[in-house]
Amino acid sequence: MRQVLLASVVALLVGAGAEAQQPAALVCPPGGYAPPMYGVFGQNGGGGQVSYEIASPCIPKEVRDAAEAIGMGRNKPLGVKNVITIMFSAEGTLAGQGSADKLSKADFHINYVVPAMRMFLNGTRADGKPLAEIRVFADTWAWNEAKEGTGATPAMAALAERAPLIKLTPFGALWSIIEAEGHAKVGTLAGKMTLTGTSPYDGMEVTLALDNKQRPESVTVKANGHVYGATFADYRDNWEPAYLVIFPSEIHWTKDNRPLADLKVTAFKSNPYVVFPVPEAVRQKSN
Amino acid sequence: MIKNILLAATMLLSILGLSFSLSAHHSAAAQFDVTQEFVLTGVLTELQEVNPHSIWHVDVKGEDGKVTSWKLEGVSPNGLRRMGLSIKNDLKIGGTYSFTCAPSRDGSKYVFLAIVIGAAGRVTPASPQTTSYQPPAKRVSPAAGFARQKSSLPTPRAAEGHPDLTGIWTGGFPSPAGPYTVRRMGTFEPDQATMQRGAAWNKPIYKPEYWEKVRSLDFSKVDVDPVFRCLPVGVPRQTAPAKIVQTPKELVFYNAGSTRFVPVDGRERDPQDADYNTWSGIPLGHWEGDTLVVESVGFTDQSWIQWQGYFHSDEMKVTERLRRDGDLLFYTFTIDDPVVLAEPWTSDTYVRRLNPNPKARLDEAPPCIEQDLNSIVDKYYRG
Repeated sequence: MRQVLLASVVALLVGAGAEAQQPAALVCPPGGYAPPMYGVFGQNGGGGQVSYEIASPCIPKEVRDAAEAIGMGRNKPLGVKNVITIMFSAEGTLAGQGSADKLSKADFHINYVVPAMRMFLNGTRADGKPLAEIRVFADTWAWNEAKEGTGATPAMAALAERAPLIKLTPFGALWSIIEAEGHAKVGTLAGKMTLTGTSPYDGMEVTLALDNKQRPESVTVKANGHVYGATFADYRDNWEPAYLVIFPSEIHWTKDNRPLADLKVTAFKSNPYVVFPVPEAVRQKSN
Repeated sequence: MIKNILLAATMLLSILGLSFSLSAHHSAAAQFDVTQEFVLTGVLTELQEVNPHSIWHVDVKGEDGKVTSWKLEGVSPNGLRRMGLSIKNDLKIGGTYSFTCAPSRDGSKYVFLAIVIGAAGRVTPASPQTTSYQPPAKRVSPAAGFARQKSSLPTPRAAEGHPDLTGIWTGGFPSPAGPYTVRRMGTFEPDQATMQRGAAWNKPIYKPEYWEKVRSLDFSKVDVDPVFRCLPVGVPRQTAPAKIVQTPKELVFYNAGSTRFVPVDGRERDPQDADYNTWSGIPLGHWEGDTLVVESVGFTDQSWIQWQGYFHSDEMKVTERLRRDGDLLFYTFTIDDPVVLAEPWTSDTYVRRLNPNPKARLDEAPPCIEQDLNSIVDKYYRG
């Protein structure tokens, strides 16, 4: 039996007793941030209707266009935060001690709203020894794992270098600019449109350059006294069922203009189940 | 007769509200190209009930004056009635409407009805806000933000003093962002799927050894979902009751395909309740202040907590909390399943509105007959 759910957009004001939400901020308030507004859409699977955040009127049109270009922008009224987790696999290289480590298979699990990342690094170190590590950070904690989700050892010193990495994905970079709302700047550099913004939640200044299809082509992130960079190429839309969320197949990372990672993406999923419970051992040792 | 947009909005809201009361099934993408949209304007000549759908017969006059007959597949008439839409009073056979449709994959004039839009009337946007606003210290999920609303109406109380939860509770809330416009071209199912996934900030923490199983169930074909195979939705997946009838000693919770009798008479839990294998659990209720707390045990392990492959064991215990504020009902559930979960998980708060129509009723759900699996083009399309 097929779905009979039809529309997934919120309809008009109908007038009712409940003050369902605060009056709309249809113009951007003076401070550059607007109170959130929520739309609802029906849900298949028995759970009933679901709410999503309608894009703030403070968000520049160019930012909304970029969000729509890569699948973060959905529905009308438009929501632009509709990619909250990703997982992707890649092979390539990653900067290690001295020369680069070779990655035969690396998996990256990212949650943009916690924020958190788990990197499964498998391959060969620059010195020829095997590489098999799981590096994690979540919010203000960092640790390594022996197996996914278990065998944790604190790695708080690594938090500063791990946290900016989620900004080196198209969605992560755009999250910063979206959250900057009216403080985001639209510019031009070398003939390309640029978007610059700092999320109030992490203080990292992100600058995106867009290609001619409004997709992130390169990113610069200023964090923790360093400048991180990323370029994205060969966006594809056939990684998963047709959710119309696209992801590049080539990603290059730099840190202070030195190579950090060269990744050839082999798999991608949008909004998967990835969780990052902070192990008690990490909390206790970090206190 | 041209209907105004307000009516169409009501229909849309009601359609939204309806969706959760239906059994969850797979997409219409098998038969219709739901990535495309087009608008038909024509005369409604017949509205047929073919459960679980309705078939709208529309005559469209072309520029050359030639009339072409179309058939549009839409939500069931029971569904329309549950929305508070009276086919007799609110739709006129012979009336002219605009319909946003998704085309049929075979090019026929049997298409998928997405939206019915009237023509006259505009809704005035809400006033702009002029004061400054600062974001909160931490990110707030859409569900948490949406659940912060309050009602402007008083909360009726039953004779014994507790809030009276009696009523038909539905979804569908007004948009704060002004007039609705036709949805973005080129999307329907992809929007739905991505948005459902993108809204799932709050995830249960399974034990690590089960993480890959959850992903596997989530990434698998649609028919791994028990609801797709016409098995009951179950508790708590069906979330808030669509209708509640409250008496001093018992509350009756009704959802499509499920009726639960929740005793609140202070009885003790029968230890044998946990040995049952039911889809809705064996409930026992009590009041904590103005919040109704319903604790249920005795579940089968065949159901899912939610559509993303959130399975559970038969040792699951579900605690539901219902609170009424005026014409709003707030519902949450907590899952305690030490077999598969690393910690108890509390859901987002679901918000429902009271259907103000005193004559509203909920009709029998159509029978579930699985017949479309072979027609689905992409069986991995989930969400």
